[in-house]
Amino acid sequence: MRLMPLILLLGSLSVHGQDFGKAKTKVGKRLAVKVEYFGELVLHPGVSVGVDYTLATYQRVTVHWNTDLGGYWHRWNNTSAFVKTSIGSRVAMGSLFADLNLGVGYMHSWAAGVLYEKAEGGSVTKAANRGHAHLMTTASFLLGWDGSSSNLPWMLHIGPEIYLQSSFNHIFLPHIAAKIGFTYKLN
Amino acid sequence: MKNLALLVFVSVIISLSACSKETFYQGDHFFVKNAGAEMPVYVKGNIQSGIFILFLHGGPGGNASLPSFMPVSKKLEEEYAFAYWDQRGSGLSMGNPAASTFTVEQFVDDLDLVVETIKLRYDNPRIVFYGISWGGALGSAYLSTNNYQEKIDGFICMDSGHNLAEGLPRSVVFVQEYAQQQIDQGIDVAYWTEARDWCASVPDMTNKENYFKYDGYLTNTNAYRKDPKQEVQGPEVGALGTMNSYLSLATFFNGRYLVPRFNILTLNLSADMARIKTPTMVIWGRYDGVNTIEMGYDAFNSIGGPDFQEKEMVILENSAHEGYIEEQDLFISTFRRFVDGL
Repeated sequence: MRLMPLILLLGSLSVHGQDFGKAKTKVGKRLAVKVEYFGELVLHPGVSVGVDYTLATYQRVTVHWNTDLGGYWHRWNNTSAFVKTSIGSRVAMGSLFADLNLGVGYMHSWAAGVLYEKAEGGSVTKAANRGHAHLMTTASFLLGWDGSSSNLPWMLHIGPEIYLQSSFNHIFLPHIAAKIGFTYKLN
Repeated sequence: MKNLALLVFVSVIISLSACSKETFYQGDHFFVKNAGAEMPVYVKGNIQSGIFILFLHGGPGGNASLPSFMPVSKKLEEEYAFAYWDQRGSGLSMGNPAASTFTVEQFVDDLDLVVETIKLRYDNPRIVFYGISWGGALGSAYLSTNNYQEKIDGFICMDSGHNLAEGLPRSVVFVQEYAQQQIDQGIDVAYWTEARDWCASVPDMTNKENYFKYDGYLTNTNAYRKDPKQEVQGPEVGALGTMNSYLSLATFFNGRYLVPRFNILTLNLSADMARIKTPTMVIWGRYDGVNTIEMGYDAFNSIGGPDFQEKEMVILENSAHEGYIEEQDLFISTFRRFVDGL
């Protein structure tokens, strides 16, 4: 009996999924690859590559799943690499679109410089720079242009991504990044 | 056309990130790693001088990375190298140091690593501590520990919080008197009456909740700057500079874990400071409400004991806690005179 609400929820999702899945397409047609400039605090350069998989489309709304691999270099501060995944909802307005994404990922950050530590005996020596592991939670709001109406298989997008880096001195450290990207739809 | 616009935009971004960064990255940098923390040290200015001013920032939980863009520092960097170290859990420092490492002893150990690394990396230069507020206390603690003072050539101890056990109650009195002045002038009477009455109850300042309540009142007084309306030269790094330098949002968000966990409310280094035989200049704002002028005399009298001669006291007569910008020119000339005389 306790499971009944869960069963009903899953059932409703299934019906909803059928509704969304009206335009059934092959996996290849749902898949796109993308490359982005990922500028931490806008100007600290980075790059991200990834795939965009269309989960469902309904009228002007496309629900898509992204997986990205990337990194950036904040000179004299840190160098970071990340792998992240997100679910997005893209709303089309003619050939333009707005895209809201929420996600989670793994981030590894290294101090961007030489590290020193005390060796046994009290002398100072260079230390290994193994970096730190972090959880990364992301939210992005992108605006873009879809070439479909002109029979072009690609999209452009630009917008901010806000992400939290945890644990950083035991807090969720906020970041903001600028993303400018190009997405190519595979056929 | 859209593609062209995008291309132009990307080109502008790349140009900005490639060119204008240089002005924010003059000097050198390294990190020190100790007990769970990785702490940056930014070195700017005249490294060839062979004189390193090691800036000890306030707080705890403040930072040195933002003051590294202060005009007052830039002027002094013409003569000396300045080393800006962000302490554990503060500024741009990284890692996840345990709360158990938030002790004066650990900060002293971190500072010794910074000192030793500067000596190693820059061929054993002369090092002068320049500590403000908590930084002055940290410098005092370091120089009182073991034989560490042998590594340091001079100490500028400014508005230090070396003895909060006695200093905080004095600051509470400052808040109380300020509150009465506001009441007398009819300014925000309800708020300042509450503040005055709370201060008059002689709260236990070793209690953290009391401290944070007092701090809330204190920041609304002129404890930090004698004339809060005075135009001063703050850090020369705006929004673009923040995006285009080694600064990050950590400068503003770090310290939130450290501050409530590093309890220095009972700190009293006055007796230990008698061991300091390093040439010292104690410099204090006459109207400092954070660490009042009485604590300046306490620092001066404590350092090296009564017979120690290589110390001087300078009072900035028109300053509170931020004399380095309230009386910037006088501060710079006094600073130079002391360091050049070492």
